[in-house]
Order: sequence, then C-alpha cells, then structure tokens
Amino acid sequence: MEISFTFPGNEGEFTSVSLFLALMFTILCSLLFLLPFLILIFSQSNKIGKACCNCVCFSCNGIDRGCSDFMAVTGSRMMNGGGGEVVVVERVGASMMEQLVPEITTHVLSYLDYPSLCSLSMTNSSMRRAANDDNAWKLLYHKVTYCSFQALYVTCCSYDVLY
Amino acid sequence: MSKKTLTLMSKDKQLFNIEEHLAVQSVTIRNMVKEDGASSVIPLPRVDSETLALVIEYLNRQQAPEEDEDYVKKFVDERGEIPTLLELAQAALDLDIKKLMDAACMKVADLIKDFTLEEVREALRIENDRTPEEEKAIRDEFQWAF
Repeated sequence: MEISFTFPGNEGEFTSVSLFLALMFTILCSLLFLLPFLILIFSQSNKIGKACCNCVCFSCNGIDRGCSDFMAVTGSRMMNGGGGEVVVVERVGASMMEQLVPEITTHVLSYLDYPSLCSLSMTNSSMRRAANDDNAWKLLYHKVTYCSFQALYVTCCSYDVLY
Repeated sequence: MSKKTLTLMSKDKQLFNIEEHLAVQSVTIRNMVKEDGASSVIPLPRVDSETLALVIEYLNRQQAPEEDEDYVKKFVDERGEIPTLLELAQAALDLDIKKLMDAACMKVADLIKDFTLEEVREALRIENDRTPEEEKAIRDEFQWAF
C-alpha cells in the first residue's frame, strides 16, 4: 500500500521535472537555431526579399492580362534609337524576339536574373507572357538556391505567394 | 575519314558546301546522313544565308575538341550584335548544335542583363503595345522594380 502510494508520486514528480527541463532545453535550442535566420529575414526583407515577392506576384497577375492582345502586334516600324547596329540589319517584323521560336526565348531568359526578367516583362505584352514563363523562374530559383542566403529569401517569398 | 561534301540550302535558296565530317557536328545533319546518306541538298527553311554562312564558318574552323569552349565563346563575342546572335541561336537550334546555341543565348543574356527597360526595347526592337495610361498604372503598382 505504502509502496503503491509513493511510487506513482515519485515517478510523477520526476517525470514532470524532466519534462519541463527537456521542454526548456528544446525551446532554447530551437531559438538558438532560428536566431540567425530571423535576423537575416528581418535585416534583408526590405531589399531582395520584398523585391522577389512582388516580382513573383507581378508575374502571376500578369498572365491573364498578357495573353489577350498577343499576336495583335504586327507593326513594322523600326526602332532606330539604338545606334548603328540596329540600322544595319534591315529586317521587317514586330520584334526580334517574337520572330524566334519559343525555345530560344526561354533559353535566353534562363540566363537572366530577376531584374532583367522584370524589365523584359514590362516591354510589351507578348514579352510579358514570355518572361512570365514558369520555367525561367524555376531555373532562376534553382540557380539562386545554390547560394544559401538567397535560398532563404526565395523560400520566404514563395511562402508569401502561396499563403 | 571520307572527304564527302554536303550541300546545305538556306531560306533564300543559296547553296553552301561543307565537308561531311565537319557537318556532322550538327545532330540534325548527322541523323539525316545516317538515314539516307544525304546525297541530295539539305534544305534549312528557317535559316537565312547570312546566318548559315556564320554557322558554316563555325563548323569549318572548329577542329580541335579541347579548344571548343574558348573557341565558341570567342566566336559569339566577335558577333556581339543581338539580332545576329538570336538568328544564330535559332539556326543552331534547328541544326541541333548545342554548344553554339548555348553560347549565343548566354551572350544575348549577358548583353541585355544590365539594360534598362528602354534599352531592352531598343536592343530587341520590341514595340510597346500598351497605352501610356496602362503603363503608368503598372509602373505605379510596381514602383520598386524601376
């Protein structure tokens, strides 16, 4: 009777103390682990992080708009502000990029960084459609992921986009 | 190695001769040669004569495999104009010459990388098909990008 009374009590006390210690230790560890990441996020969120987020959103928003008036561009006016080399090649057409097969455009885009992709998507609606191509952004994502710091920004960004 | 010569025909019906062992660097031509011996003229309906001349120059000069990487870089560097490079990339895609296509695309990307919006439009001769109002709305919405 005595044994059966004290034994559970002792065990209960022991368990709760160890549980508490383990819990504190776990919280401490996870805080220490997360600290550098948190600092990183807060210090950089105004720079690349923000830019990335908006950029991706921008791309998503753009898809429905960009398609509508694609193919309407058939003007043959030459842009001749670019200096000598533009004038040399006397080809008639809407733009260089639209005459090309999509593979080339995608391939070129895969070598670009995100500010250039954004610039391109601003140029006109068909380029916007091309620059909003998921593959280009995926490649960019994977390229960026190699660098651990930027991987974190992009991860945060994709969460922002998803939720 | 046989010194058989192949004839390639560009979009504007000009004929170009190239030795078979050099031409088979292009996977497309290699497959054609394998299939039927490619005795007749090989038509390339999407490649114009200027670009085909460049491709032939590339194929002809490329002799030593160990210098390929430097050579192809130098080759595209010498032709630093975006329209030419894009045509070259498209020809390389049609002919399936991967190195040339990669190098040309990378060069184009390098050239337009640091351009502003207007410079990109000029370089690629892209027409702005938005009205100023539409553009202003987008600019206002995404001010951080400019």
